[in-house]
Amino acid sequence: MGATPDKRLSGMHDVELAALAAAGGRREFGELVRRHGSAVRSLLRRMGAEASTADDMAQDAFLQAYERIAEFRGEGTFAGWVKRIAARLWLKRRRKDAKIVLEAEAREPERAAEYADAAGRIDLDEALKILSPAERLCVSLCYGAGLSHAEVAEALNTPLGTVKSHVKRGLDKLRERLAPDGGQAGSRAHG
Amino acid sequence: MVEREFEAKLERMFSEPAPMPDADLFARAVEERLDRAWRLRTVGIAAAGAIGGVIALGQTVGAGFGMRLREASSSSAVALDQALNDMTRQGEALLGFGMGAGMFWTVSAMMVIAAGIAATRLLDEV
Repeated sequence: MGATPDKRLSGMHDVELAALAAAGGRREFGELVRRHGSAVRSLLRRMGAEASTADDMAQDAFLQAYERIAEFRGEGTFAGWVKRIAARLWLKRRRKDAKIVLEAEAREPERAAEYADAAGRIDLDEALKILSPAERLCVSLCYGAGLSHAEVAEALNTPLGTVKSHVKRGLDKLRERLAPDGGQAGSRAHG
Repeated sequence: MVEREFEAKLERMFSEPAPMPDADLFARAVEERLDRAWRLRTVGIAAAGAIGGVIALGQTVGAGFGMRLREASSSSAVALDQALNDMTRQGEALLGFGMGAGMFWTVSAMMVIAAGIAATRLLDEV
């Protein structure tokens, strides 16, 4: 398999590449990895995984995606589909750790760097640092991996209410940090 | 409404991470693992085919060989039996007429030759 990006492949749509990968095209799948690898790795890091663990798990998620590529029919985005696989894989392997994180007393969160981009917004990764590990995990799973509250609760074997409250508290903190006007408290019907 | 907008914005931020500097390296690592898995699978299929072929060949050869061995051993046994019977009869006759030491060794030599012939025939059959 060629390691360098292919110009022909770079012009193709994700769904087209996935269809070719389903027919055994490893080069086509490699192009998908090149496009969406960073998104999957970032998600796992945002969920609280160490960088090296996140990368290993992202690789495993892509390999699993390749095995199951025929299941991807292009209803959602390819990145979203792989992110869900990665999130479930992480939850499956780290279920015990994740539960400890959820049940832990809220510790003093890290202070986010007072870094703002050109538009005056604080970077999401920096903003996530102000959340407790449980809030960070739940928010990342719901808004990063696209899992519903119920799916997160089921995957973590945790009461739905616990997940919802972590998400709500996390959102409130993020809103305060990210939205210029501070937004309004509340949570949407995600699950 | 403001809340929905914020959540949509948050989803957008999650879905648009900055590309990582080692993105190409990561993609290459996945490709290498895919290649390795593919090679392993190919070798596995080839090995399974080879093992199956060897077993089938063994079964076929074993069945023919066994049959021929049985035939050879039964025909050799009959021949050996015949020779021994003849020699015994001759021996009794000789003994009846009072066999000397020379005659005994001659008969013994003939028996060894007969056994040798039987063994040679057996080997030829095999």
